[in-house]
Amino acid sequence: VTESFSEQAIAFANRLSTLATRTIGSSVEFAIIEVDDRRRRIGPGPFDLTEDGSGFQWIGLPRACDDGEPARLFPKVEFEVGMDPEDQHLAVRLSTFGLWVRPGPKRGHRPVVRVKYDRDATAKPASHVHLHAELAWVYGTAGESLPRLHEIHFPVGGKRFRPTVEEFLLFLHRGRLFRDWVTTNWRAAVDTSLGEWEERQARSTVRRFPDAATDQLRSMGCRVQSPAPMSPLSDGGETDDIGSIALVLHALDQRAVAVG
Amino acid sequence: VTKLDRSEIVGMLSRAAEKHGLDLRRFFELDRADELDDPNLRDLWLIWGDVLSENDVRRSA
Repeated sequence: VTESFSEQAIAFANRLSTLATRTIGSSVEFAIIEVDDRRRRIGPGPFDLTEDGSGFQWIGLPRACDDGEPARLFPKVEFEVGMDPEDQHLAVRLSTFGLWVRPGPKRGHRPVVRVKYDRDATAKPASHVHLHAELAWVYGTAGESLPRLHEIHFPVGGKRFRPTVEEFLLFLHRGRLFRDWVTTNWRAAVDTSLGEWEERQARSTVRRFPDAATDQLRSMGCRVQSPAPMSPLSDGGETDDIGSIALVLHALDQRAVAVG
Repeated sequence: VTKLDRSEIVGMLSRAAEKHGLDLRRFFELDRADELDDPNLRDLWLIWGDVLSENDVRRSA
């Protein structure tokens, strides 16, 4: 039985609270804010509209070099969640997280790096990174030498869910770095290629996580039979092999027929 | 789960915009044009902007 929207939102907030407690050490309770039936906003609580900003709290990240002074580094983690189109699973619609600094008590919070996600974005990549000049402040106050920007490796996704060449081409266009495309249909070609990549990734994910894929397909009403215990494949190439996996892939292809 | 009235969020957005010398209409327009420079306002709009309706913007004018 799929949990309700509220139950899933609470579970999501609890996971964030646990992660914060286990990593930053602060006892942070993520708050869930309901304004309407369809969406919830989630961020560090307690939520307080009298506070400056979004109402969510800043999580202090004390460094040894701060010598016991109030924290000056602040990770920011805020989400908007809703349900997926099937109304079954929680989906993140928007998120902003990153590192902010407050160089002094009289100065406001300023961003160092922000990672933003907007599921419905059309004029920019759904997920993207903003870099800010305060990066130098963080290194300087910690007594660290400032690396050159190209020496810092900003995460933009794992081995499966990473930016694509197609998204990079769109970045060149949006950033006005290159616009002399060989044909006016370049955008359609990029969109088609991106769609094919997403489908290949879906198949590859199923090969990597067959048990999870099987569970998901069954929850959608598909009949999936495994002839033998399934085990994940390595992250190798795009090979189509092994009966049990092929069955899952076939079930995925037949989803529209099998559901219901 | 804390339930909030829309008006409370609209009030928060108004106060934030005002702090930066903007009214809600201008706040809205700058976001649409992707010309909102202040990162605080950009993040605020990302998470809360869609609570705002055209009526709210009109009423605030």
